Amino acid sequence: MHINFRKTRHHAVFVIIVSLFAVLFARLLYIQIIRHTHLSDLAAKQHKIFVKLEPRRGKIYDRLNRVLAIYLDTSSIYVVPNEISDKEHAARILAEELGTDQEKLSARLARDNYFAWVKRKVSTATAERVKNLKIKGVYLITEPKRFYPGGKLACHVLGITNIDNVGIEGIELYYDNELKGEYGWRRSARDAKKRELISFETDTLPARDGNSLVLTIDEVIQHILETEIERLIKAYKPKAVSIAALNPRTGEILGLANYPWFDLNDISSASVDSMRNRAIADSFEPGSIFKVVTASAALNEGIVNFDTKFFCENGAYKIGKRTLHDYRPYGTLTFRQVIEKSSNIGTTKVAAKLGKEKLSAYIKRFNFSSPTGVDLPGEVSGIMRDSSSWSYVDMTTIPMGQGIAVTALQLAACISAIANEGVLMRPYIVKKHFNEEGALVRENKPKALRSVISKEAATQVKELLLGVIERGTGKRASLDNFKACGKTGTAQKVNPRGGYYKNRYIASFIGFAPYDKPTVSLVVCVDEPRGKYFGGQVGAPAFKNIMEKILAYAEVESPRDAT
Amino acid sequence: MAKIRFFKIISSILLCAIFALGYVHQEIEIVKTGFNINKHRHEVSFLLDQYRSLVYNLSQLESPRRIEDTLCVNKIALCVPEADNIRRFDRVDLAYRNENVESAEREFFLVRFFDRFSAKAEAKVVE
Repeated sequence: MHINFRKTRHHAVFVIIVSLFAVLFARLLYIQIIRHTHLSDLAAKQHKIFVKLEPRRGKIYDRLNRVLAIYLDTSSIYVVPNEISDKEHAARILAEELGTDQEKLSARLARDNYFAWVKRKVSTATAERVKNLKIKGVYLITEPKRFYPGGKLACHVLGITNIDNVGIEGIELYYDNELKGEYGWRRSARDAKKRELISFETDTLPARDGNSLVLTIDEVIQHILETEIERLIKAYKPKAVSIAALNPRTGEILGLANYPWFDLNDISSASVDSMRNRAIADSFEPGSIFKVVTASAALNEGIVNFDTKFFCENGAYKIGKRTLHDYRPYGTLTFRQVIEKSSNIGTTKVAAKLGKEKLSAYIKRFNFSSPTGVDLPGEVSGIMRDSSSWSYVDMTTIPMGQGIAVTALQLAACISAIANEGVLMRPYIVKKHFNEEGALVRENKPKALRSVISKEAATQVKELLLGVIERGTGKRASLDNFKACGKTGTAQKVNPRGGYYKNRYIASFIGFAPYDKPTVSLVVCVDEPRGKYFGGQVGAPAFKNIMEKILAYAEVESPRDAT
Repeated sequence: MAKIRFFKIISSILLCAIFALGYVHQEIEIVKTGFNINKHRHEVSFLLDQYRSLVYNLSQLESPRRIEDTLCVNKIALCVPEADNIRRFDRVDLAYRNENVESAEREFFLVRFFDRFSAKAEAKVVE
């Protein structure tokens, strides 16, 4: 039998090759079909990424588009603990460089995870130094941080954000939803070196940056107010100061300053007490400046005129068990003189003629029983009891500003109503809203709340307040080139244990200028000034200093210039 | 015939190989472009941040406090002008609106014709 060896060899090679291909095919089948789901999930975990796109927080500008708040990119330091071989060494070096606690850092590095913050939002110099250390497992990431070019300028108005760029005070809080924008996202892939492969981007939703806000605040006017506060601090070392400047015709807040204050760029050194916006969050008994309300009510009701006479009991007026005193003993005064000389007894008699129901109604019309509605957080409404619970004692105290608590902003709105022909405007602080493209989204317009007193009555009250400065207790508020109107106030502070402190006062002044065309209304409240404490000595000169500068800055034409 | 078939097979394989290489090259270029785009994105982001830093620095430089402190350091005192030093002028009407001002004489028509073909350097009053 002849065996065809050649053919057998061919068959053997053929079988071997086919077997190899069969093995390969089986392996492919196993990888591509049987283990498909598991392997593709594994690949997706390694290669696919979901990137969250952080929106940029909107900027804040003053009324002339000068930047008050802006975000800048800063570096934050994080570690991947799994990648660090010598954790103690890394913790020691980083703690030395960053000035942090080494033990806490070591504890964070000891965790078996992929991410741990070391320090967020550090300065550029610090980030460079950490980068130059070249420690494996230590990385830098960019995060936006809020910066305020003015430092402490308008600190209570602007407010602050926390480490996660969420507003927690002031405008930053009130308009946080608008300022923060909306997160976007992107689904894409990364390579073995963890670099993002943009070309493999599958889906994306762009982030929407936050809206920017233009305030009614003027940076220069705000600075004028704060400079005057510095002068008051130097002269009288007060516990607190609040000053508010408004445009009486529109209710726009041109400046709002409080002391104590804080640096917006360094809140770690700020106390909780310094962060309170006292002009809206603190209510106090206003004292004699509240006589403006009583006088307005009396004139609007027509129960008095400038020449109506009141006997001021020579400085001591016994009502029931109480004796009401004037600062100086006066005999008979006209109504005009009662306000100019700030007679408590005279004012009480005017209020008695008015009656408690009408007085209460006017106090409510001036909005002292409710918040002004300003677009800032933390506003209080003040304290005013219902007239049904008023006793005869209340009718001797409330007309002259005791037994009632108001905020500085409520007083500013009140005096603005007098300047604005009796129309009460709602104070507001944000003028315009712009989107990320710069298009106007919304504009806040002036809102007239109500007509508190008639135009004629407002003119008469203006005349009275002019007299306070020209002949009365507010002579130190007299301006060089303009006529101004105003009222002084010296209120004893309430003792929480009952009664009033004997030697603690709030010295205040409210007013507006110029007399003929009021442009700016102002309220100055100085809490516990040392040395001098009368409104005429402390508040009035502050009013004069501020008002002259503001009118010069605003280039208001004085009557002398016009001639 | 066999030779032609052989060449056809080889050329098909070569063609496929070329297309495959081309495809791979294209994919690599796409990925490279993606990296470039990412790099440019970071550059844009960096430049925008630089711009914001400049805006911030400018705002600080222009802040009223800094200006006042600088004036103080340089012993420059500013004061509000006295009322007597301020002069305000009434609004002056622009001369060309005055109907009494005579307009320029009409030029000879040939001059105007050739003027169209020559360059001009005249100032224009813009309303």
